[in-house]
Amino acid sequence: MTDNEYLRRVLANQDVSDDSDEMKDLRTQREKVKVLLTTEFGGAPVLLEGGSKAKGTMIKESYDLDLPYYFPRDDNSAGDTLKEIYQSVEHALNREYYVERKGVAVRLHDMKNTVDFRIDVVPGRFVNGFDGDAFLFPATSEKERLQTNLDTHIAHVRDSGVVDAIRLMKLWRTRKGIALKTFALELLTVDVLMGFRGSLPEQLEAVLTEFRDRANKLSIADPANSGNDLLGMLYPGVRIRLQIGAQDTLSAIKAGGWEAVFGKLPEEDSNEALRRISLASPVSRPWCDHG
Amino acid sequence: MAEAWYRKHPEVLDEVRRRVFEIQPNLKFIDTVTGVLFKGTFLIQEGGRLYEEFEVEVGLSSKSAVSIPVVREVGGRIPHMADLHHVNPDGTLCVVLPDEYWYCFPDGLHIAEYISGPLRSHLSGQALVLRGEPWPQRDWAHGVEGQLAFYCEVLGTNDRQAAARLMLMLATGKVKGHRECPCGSGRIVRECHQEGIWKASVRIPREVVMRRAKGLQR
Repeated sequence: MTDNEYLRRVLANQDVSDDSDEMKDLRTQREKVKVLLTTEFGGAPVLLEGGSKAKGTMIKESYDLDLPYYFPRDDNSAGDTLKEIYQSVEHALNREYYVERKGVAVRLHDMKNTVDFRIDVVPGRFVNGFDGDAFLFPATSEKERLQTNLDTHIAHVRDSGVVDAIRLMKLWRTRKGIALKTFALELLTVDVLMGFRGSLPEQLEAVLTEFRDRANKLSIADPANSGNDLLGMLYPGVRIRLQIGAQDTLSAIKAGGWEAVFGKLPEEDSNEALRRISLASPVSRPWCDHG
Repeated sequence: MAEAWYRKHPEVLDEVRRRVFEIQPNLKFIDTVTGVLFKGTFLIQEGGRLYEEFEVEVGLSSKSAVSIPVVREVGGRIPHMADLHHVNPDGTLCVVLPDEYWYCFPDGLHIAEYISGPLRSHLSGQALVLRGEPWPQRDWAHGVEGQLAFYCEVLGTNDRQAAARLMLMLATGKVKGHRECPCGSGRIVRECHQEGIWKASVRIPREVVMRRAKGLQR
């Protein structure tokens, strides 16, 4: 198996399909949240879907569902200020969930705080109409508001052409236990690979080499609003972890190939393997020249 | 009769042998007066794990190094059942629809690429069918029906008449942008299915379409 094939299989094992238990659970909670919020605030606010699901970067080992919940500009049903909107939404969700403040989002757990539903509701207000630009309330910082655009974020990642590399970098970060926010990792990966042409293993090596050699110079900018300061996500401790992690990984690849990084693949069912091989060629549909 | 390419260019044949040996070392090269072929055990394996094996013969066309080879399963594992296994009465495997093959690979494939691509995929499908599974890749209907289904895909339609009109257009070689599009929309080709039709006309050899297209005319 080539490095490329190996990494593709690593990715295949991280797929979260629409009919998987993980997605069923997320959908169940999403519907519950929708009912809860609609009962409280009516039908005018919009519950959207963002995060890795919309970007196509979801992996089984680290997934969640972002649910932006935006109020129209002239809707005051949850309050006049962004802070009031945030608190009202938090309060409404708290009827059914234990809620945890997490930046601009509210993370949902069960009431006993023993189950993390992996759902982040992001309260906000549209800047104008429903064109995507929205103001958010950064509950855990001193700022009063952030302006951002969900569609721009999604398009920036989804249309980057390097979604597979991003998914593998997310897996790498998760397994290394590096506390770098997913959004920052996505931006860094897209940035390093901008204009880079190479196979999937080459893409990963390029990103890791950048982390190893230029950890202190890494920077990120919000594609939806260059005024948002994201550099706080790359604090010195994270930079050091990225550098050391990348250095270890590049050495491991040299010594033992990619399997030394992502481990042995689970044994594939023989029929499943044959099915995959059978579909590998773009021309493989049999046809008989008679009849 | 023109001299076979492998007699004319033995160095090309040497290169073919080397590359086939690299990917399927159990296929032995055999040179006979009637032609050249590879014969032996075809292994479907990956990462050191063997999934299936078949005894096969892969006969090289004398016309060109990139022509579609003739493949037979000679170990008696695959029943000669056209409907289920896509095997012709003479035992040759119906590996690909030539129209689709040339549409996707207009320059043809090196024999080694054919073996590691379409043939490996086909034999993997055969293995699954032998195990009672369906073909993972949908199979084409036999004969002209399969061809019509393919040309329906080129036009993005379910209209067999439209596909037949396209086949006739390709067979006569009269593919012009100002002609009425065979899809039946009433628009000219240039403003309709130009891309698919143009690709088909430059990629699929006329003789591949012509054989069946004559029958359609009747």
